[in-house]
Amino acid sequence: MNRFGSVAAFSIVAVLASVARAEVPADAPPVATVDEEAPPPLEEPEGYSPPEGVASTPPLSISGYLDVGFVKAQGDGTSFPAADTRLPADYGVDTFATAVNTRGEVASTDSGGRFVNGFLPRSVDIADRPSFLLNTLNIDLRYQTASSPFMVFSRVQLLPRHFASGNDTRVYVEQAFGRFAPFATRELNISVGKIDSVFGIEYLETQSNIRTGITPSPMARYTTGTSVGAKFFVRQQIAALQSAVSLNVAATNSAPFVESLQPPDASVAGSPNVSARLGYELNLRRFQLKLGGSALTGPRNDQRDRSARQRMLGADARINAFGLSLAGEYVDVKQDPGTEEKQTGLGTFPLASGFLARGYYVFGGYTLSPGWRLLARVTLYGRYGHRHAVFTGFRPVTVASITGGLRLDLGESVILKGEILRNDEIAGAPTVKNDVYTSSLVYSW
Amino acid sequence: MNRTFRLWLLPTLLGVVAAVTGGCEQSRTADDEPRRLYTLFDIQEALHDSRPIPAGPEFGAGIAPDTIMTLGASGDSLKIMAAYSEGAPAAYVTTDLWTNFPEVWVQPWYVLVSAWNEKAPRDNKLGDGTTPAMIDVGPKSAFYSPFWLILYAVVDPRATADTYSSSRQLIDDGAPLHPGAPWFYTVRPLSVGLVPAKPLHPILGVEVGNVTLSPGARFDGEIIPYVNVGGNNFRYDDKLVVEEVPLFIFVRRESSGAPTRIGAPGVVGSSPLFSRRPAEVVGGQPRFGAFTRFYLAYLPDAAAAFDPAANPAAVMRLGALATPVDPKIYQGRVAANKDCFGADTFPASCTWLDSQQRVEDALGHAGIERTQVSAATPLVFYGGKAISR
Repeated sequence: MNRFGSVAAFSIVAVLASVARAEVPADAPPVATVDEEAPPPLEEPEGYSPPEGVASTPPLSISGYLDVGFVKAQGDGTSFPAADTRLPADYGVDTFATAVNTRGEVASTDSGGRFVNGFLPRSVDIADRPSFLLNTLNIDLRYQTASSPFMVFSRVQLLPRHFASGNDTRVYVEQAFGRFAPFATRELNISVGKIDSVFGIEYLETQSNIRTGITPSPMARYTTGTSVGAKFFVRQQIAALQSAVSLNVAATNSAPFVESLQPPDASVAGSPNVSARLGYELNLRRFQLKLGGSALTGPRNDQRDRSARQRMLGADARINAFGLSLAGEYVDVKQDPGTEEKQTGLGTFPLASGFLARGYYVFGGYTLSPGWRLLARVTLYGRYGHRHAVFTGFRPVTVASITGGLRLDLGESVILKGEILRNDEIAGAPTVKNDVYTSSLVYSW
Repeated sequence: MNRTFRLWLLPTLLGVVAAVTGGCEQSRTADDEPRRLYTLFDIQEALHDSRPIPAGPEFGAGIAPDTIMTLGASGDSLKIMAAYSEGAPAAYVTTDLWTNFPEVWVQPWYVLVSAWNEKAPRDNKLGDGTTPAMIDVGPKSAFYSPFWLILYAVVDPRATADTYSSSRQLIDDGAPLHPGAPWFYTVRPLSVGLVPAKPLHPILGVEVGNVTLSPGARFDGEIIPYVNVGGNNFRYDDKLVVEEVPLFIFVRRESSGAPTRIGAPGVVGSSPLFSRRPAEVVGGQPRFGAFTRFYLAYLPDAAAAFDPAANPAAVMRLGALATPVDPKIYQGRVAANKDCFGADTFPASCTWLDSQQRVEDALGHAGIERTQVSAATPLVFYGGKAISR
């Protein structure tokens, strides 16, 4: 175990021991709320977004959403400059820049025949052509009886796409897990299955019906993927301080990279990645502050050789006050070079280079609530993202993105969003036209 | 602690700790070498550490770095390796090794010029030729390759050596890029050179050609020295994948089945294995040999390498030919029928294994074993003479 692993293991054990000592009997009265007059603390999702069931609801519930977009990317829909002949083509540019939807799929990954080595997102393959897209048809199934501590949840997504080879509708199991919450009076549970990331905060809004805007940040590719494994969550309210602390710990097949980068559905390395986030939240009547620190260590799950390690560190903060939402996250990623071919969600590629990336984003949004039946909320938002990344031996690539958009909540079940994503190549990557204009209409049920 | 909670906490803790420690064995096949590139920097390090370069089961303990580079008090030197190719003496230098790599790619090498002259593209090199060339893929990258496609970038004549430091600037400025010849350059530690400055064929004792030291190319703000081993000495396809040809290493099979090198010069092939494509030689410059894969060529008992010292009668016959032949021309050359060394009709009576086709014909698929090692082995001597640039 390396030093980082030792520290992580010690920290996890220490925190869990502390939680265990603070445990209360199962029949103890509910924990007092921080402020009986205040709205309930902002829910920290524990891996899925639907609200908790209540006794009056049937055990099985079906919900979901449909995300339809209309998008247009500049240039040829990629970040590959025609004059750049360096190989692999995806090492010298940001292939994820031209995201057109909440999934982070890009307009195109066509490198013009140049060799690529699997540092790629999924593509909707529309290049620069304006197009309607059925981004996601999402179906959630949830089963929980009122008296049982167990809950089962699945999120299956249908993704109809058109490629040069023909039409193809991919069925993707985004989440599927069972959750055990042994205490009705405590926020403590264990989930096993395909689960959300626990790293950082952006994973909380990877779904179109949750995310304020449309496209993910430049660091989302490392933190928002779901993976198969187990997760432990506990939150302890500290009434005297109007605060709470939470701990999320997960052991999963892969790091929370998006599935195109690292396969989540099986352990290629044969040893799990361990990730954790320790959070603090201050919940006042009109002001909420949330802070967190995250860490991950484990083998690269694109390698069978588990001596090729990866580690991530992150910090995040969120503030909600008077209709204003601010959020920011910093992520630092390090991967050792692999010793064999690389297995990703997109296939097998020749080499696994050493890799470093660090970046951050800051997000700000302001919501007005007219309270009209057909216009419940209006949100104006913007985000700045910055990413610096280098494959060992290659010239580092530094990029930034500025996103601005408007979101209209048309009642409680329809959301209309419009967004402009401006991409800037700051260093390493040649400048290309790769801005994106995208919109999304989300129906929830 | 609540009993139920304790029951769950324990396995969770164990799982987390087990996961962090990750104490299982690696699952890569034992015979698979790690996919790794060894540049001159790595080879020199291995030389100084007196450790072999891992090369897979076919090479036992590995490849000794002193077969590639000679340790020197004031600097190390590339070693000239004797070989045969297309039926004649040849020689090459080894500069880079790849283990378990499926392919190697051509990368762009930017030469800045102030004006474009199609007939003499180097005539207008920026700064009277003092501006270093520029690369964007360095030797620490697994995608580093000594096989380059020269791109002449036409820039403002007022630009200086420091104006451009990356291909990004050239592309952003819209500098016209004119493809030139494919060229073999490999970056080197400053302390790796050539001793003597004009190296000699290790058997023939005559000068080889086509290999010079250059002061440096610019990479990521640094100037890295390199070795220039000439242009047009390899082929690549439209995906920029460099074509691999075989380099046959003669071995005998021990009773255990393991191969033992006989120490004879290898044979540099001219086309992909068993492709039977004729050798392409342009102006005395072979367009092959710079990128090879090592193949073990298992010799039958009847085969042996010619040793002039052990065959004085054969030496006399060479001297008695109408045009006397230096016995060194045949030194180490392998014949499939070693009895021919004593025949009156030597050397014509020998079935020499001194070209790709002859090795393939004599040993067949069964006698040739692919290894996990490919190498940069540009020829510096071909057809019995030094290659001139």
